Amino acid sequence: MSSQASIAGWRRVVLSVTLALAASGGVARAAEPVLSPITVASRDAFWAGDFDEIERQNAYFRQPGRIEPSGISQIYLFRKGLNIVLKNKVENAEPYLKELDLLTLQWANEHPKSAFAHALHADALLTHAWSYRGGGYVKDVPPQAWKDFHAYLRRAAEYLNAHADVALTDSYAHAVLIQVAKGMEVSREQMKAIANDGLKRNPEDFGLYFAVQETLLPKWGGDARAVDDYIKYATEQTRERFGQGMYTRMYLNAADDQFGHMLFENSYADWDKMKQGFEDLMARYPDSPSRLNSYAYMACLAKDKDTFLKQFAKIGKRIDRERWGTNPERSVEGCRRWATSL
Amino acid sequence: MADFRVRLGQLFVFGLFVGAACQAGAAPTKADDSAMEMAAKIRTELALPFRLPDEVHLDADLRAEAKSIASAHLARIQQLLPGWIEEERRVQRARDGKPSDGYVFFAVFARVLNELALWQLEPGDAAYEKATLDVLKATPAACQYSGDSRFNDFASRIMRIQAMPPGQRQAALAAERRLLEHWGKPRPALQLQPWPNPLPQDAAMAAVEKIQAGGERPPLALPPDLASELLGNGVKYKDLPGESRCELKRWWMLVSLAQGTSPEAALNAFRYATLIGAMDRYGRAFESEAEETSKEEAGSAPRYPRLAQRFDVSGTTTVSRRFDAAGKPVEVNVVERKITVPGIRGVRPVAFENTFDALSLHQGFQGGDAAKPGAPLPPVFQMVWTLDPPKGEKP
Repeated sequence: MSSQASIAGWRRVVLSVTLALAASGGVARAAEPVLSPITVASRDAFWAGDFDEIERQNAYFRQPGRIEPSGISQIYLFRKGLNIVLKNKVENAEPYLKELDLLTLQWANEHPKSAFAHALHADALLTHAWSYRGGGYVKDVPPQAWKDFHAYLRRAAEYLNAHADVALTDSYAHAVLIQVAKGMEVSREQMKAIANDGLKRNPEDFGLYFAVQETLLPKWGGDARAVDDYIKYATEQTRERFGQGMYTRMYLNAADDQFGHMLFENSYADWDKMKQGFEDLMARYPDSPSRLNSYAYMACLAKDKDTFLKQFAKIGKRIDRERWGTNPERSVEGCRRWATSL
Repeated sequence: MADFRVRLGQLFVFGLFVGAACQAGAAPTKADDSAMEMAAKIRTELALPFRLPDEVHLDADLRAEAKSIASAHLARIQQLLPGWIEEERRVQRARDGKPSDGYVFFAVFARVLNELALWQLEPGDAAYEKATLDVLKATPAACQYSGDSRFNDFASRIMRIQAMPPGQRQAALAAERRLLEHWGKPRPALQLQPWPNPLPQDAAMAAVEKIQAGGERPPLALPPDLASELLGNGVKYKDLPGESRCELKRWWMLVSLAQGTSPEAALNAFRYATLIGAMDRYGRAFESEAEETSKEEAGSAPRYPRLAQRFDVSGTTTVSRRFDAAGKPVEVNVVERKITVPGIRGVRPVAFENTFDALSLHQGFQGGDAAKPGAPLPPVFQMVWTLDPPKGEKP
């Protein structure tokens, strides 16, 4: 599918959706305990209303090769800072979010040729939409919230549609659009088409793979097979840079978001492939204690005692609770007890 | 007309931050020793607004040059201080016969604080003014942390220069040198604009209230940190941290410009809004927050601010107010200040002009004359602040 065709495709989808939602809600991911300096810088600049600075940072971090020693893309860390401001918790969310809508629209009007400015405004509208719905299950969403949720999703979609020529030159707009589409009845193929178009703009915006993967999880109306198919696809697309690494990263994400300690029981995750992915990532990006933790945890879930003991020994005192699933203390303790038992 | 008097005797109760001056007054030292001690104390205090804390992000060469400017300036003022102390002694000798070291100390210190205030308000040359305004318009960096907000006078100016294009920095530093050279000299050309009415922070907060009420809103949106605090969490202006206060004033400056205010007027208003006056620096040293709150109890007569007692600040404030349909004051502003402070001659005592603002505003919201209950409230009234004892009373 050509770039133009894919843009036209999502336009049709976005503007003609019936706005029905996937069957169930998601659960927010825990924040990292220590923020990257990149995240802090974007958060602080946005917080103070310094548009020129965040635009400068965006332009810098979306350049090729901006990858952290841990293998994380810097544009992801940059956007994480923006997200902190957008999702800032206040006592009275509505006036705060309305002001963000106005501020980002003001910036977009002042910088009509800035793709980033348009995407940021769409992101503000998107955040406003999800503030009504929340990240919980459908049964937990106040019935009155749906109308506003849909209205703000539609505004975000229509805004991006109206400024597509400029906005879609930055894959940030595609990342926003996937989240808009997640709230609408958009087909998997069109979701993937949006991501592919964004990846043509910025092949290193790996967050787009993760964004699509999330929409394919069972809790968002997908299924384990669709998740596995897409992970395999993304792995092949990124093999040159990460080897088998993307397979591992995306299944770690799937465990965090949906499958938890039952990853190998309830999904099509293949431990041998994940293990190879860990090895490939460690070879390319050795500076990642958190990945060592993930490696050990996954080895435990996969009942690979030798690998667990080897990786756990490397961790030493650098236990990263964030990487051991829910109830991490018991998870670490249980894995250690299992591995040392006869 | 309200008239608030404090016994003159209270003026001679010492013992707060002016330890050095107290000792000088209490111990039978020679005049020269006393003057040296006063000068040393003032020099120590004056060094605070010229600090450039390590945490403040500055390019190394700019920091070095700024430090050099500050050092040269402090050295020059140090040389002037003995003359200022002697001048004050002569004034007091002529007036009271015998100068009091405590009185002389406060008068000279008032003069120094006022030089700081004049320096904050004085415009530079046209290029400096344009560069300053451009920075304030372009980046919130001008309001980022620049040290203790009571003493970040110099650091905040250098922060602005840091945010200027490198090609403008040398000219801006040269302008800073020239402005500092005005200290202690007559300023015949300095035509200070009056205090903006309302103050930018008051106008900004009134606009925030309109946003909250869904009324007509200003043309510019609040930055996220202010939107979070003011709209999301309902924080009051007085509870905002120093950086956020500065950002609010900067935001209002941008709003004013968008509404057609001239650049000169907008910059002047911003300077008044961010002016660090004597009360801002040392109010808490004389009066705790609890004491200040206690005097704000409804119906109680305002107590003379202790800092004003120590510095012998007196004068009048004129207060205007707007009422709602029920006759309750809903907006109060100080529209005129006529203040005198010993030690400050030939220039407006801008460092002390807002000394009575908080109490005047408080009184404006209180309303009535206790002697005439039920009488309509005057839309404009004057408060007289004097330390002179009423006729017939002994000091």
